[in-house]
Amino acid sequence: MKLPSMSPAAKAVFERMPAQLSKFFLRYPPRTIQKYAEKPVPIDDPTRNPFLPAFNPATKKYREPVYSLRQQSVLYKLAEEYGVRKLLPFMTKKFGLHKQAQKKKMKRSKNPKGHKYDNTKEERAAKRAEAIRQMDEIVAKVKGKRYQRRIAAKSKLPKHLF
Amino acid sequence: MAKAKGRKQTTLITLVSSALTGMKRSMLIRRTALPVRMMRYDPTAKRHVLFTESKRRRAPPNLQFGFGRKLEKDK
Repeated sequence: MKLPSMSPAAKAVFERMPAQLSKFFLRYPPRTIQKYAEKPVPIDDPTRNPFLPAFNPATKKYREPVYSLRQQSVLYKLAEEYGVRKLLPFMTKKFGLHKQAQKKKMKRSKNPKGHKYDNTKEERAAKRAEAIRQMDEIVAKVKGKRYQRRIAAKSKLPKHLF
Repeated sequence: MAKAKGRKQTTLITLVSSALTGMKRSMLIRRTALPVRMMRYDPTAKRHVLFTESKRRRAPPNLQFGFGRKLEKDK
C-alpha cells in the first residue's frame, strides 16, 4: 500500500505504531489534514466522522458509527500511548478525569462516605491508647487503698539491689 | 416431665475490657450478685485491665456492710 507523504519524524511515529492504529490513520487521515464533522451528517458527506452516526438523506434513517464505542476506546487508548491522541477525529466519548468532571451528578449526591470502620479507626485507636494510659490509675482505684500504699512503698525501694 | 415454674438462680453475663480493645469474658453468676468487676489479662492491651459488666442487670439487693464502721444512713 502506498503511504502518503510524511515528514521523517511523522514517519518514525507511524512505523512505531501498532497495525490497528496505523491502518486507522490510513483510512481516516489525521485531524490536521482531514476535516471531520462534530455531529451526524449525511452518509455521502466528505467530512463524515467514523465515530459518529450518519444518516441516509433520502430515507432519513440513521446508521451506527463505523467504529463501536468499545473500538473507539481501544483506538483512543492506543493513540494516547503513542502520543497521537489529538490526531484522532472528534469523539463524543470521554475518558478519565475529564469524563468524571463532565458527569452530571445526581441530586443531593455526595462523595463516597467511606466505611464506618475506616472513618472511626483513628478515633478508636486514640481512645484505646488513652484508656491503657489511665489503666494504672483505674487498677489502683479498684483495688483500694492498701494496694495503693503497697505500690507507693514499692516505688521507694532501690531499683537495683546489686 | 412438667417444667417447674420459677426463675433460675443464675444468670449469664459478659464483661467488657475497660481498655476498649473489644475483649470480652462471659461468666455465670448468681442473680443476687453485686455488679461484677475483675482484673484480668487483656491480650490486646498486653496487661491486666479492669473488666466490667456490659449490661445493667436488675439491681441486686442493696446490701451495705459497715465492717465495724458506721454506715452513712446510721450516722
